[in-house]
Amino acid sequence: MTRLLVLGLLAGLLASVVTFGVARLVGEPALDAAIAMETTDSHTHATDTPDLSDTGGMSRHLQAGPGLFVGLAAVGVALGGILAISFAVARGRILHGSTRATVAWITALGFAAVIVVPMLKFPGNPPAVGNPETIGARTLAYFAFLALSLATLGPAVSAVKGIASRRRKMLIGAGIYAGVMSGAAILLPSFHEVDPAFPRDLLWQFRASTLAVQATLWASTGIAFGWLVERFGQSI
Amino acid sequence: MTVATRPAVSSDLPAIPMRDIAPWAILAALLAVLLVYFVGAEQGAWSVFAGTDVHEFVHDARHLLGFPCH
Repeated sequence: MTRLLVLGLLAGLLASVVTFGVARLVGEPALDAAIAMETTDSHTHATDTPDLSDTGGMSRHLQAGPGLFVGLAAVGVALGGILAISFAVARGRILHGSTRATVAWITALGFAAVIVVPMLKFPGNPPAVGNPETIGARTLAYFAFLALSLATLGPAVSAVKGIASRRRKMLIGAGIYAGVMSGAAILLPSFHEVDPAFPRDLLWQFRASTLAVQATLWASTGIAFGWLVERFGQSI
Repeated sequence: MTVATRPAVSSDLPAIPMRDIAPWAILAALLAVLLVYFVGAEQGAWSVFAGTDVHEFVHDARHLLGFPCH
């Protein structure tokens, strides 16, 4: 178990190095463009621009380099650890396939429930977008939606445990999950705070890059973990 | 997916007993929540530490991971 956990943490760290590259390449240009919007166009959306934005005296160089890496590494290592624990719980108990297949299932389900679904309801905003007065409500709604998504996963998986047909199992499980999450998405408040003056293609570019960053982090953590366990995890 | 070059080993191994996993699971879950909180939300909606230094340092990571930032 200890070894499995170490491999998970290591996988997360390796993945955050890869993700750092993607974030620099894909994410930073959108982020910089949005910050430029914020400083040049501040007269057009004065109410939307928070005062403490966007560097607070910290250089962009520090934010886009060490800051970005530390942030990604912290989340990556946490993800690797959680992946290792989930793998330990699921293997031989919930999933009975090979190491790689088990890791792939956990990573894919986790990515869908933790990233994709919350992102559909509460997509990330670039700098210069977002009303600082609602940050409390937005953050709370986001984490509540995320917690519900995770909480629904367990019952949805256990509800279909006894069903023999693999196809029916997946359909019913996905149906339960989609039903609960759709209901929650309708009930929870939505926030429409994008200034009409903010370029739409830049907003899209930014949001697509957040998906790319998360997809890279999750996929490379899963791939690294699967590989490490097959290679070094035989004696667990 | 390509065909595995060696036989699947995991299905031959017994499941790790839950009592071995539980303490790690609790610790890891708590630490993970703490880490994600500091990267994702500290000094945004809520603050443990005063100021904005934590927020600003992880600013780019927070944005690019898609957390609500400001």
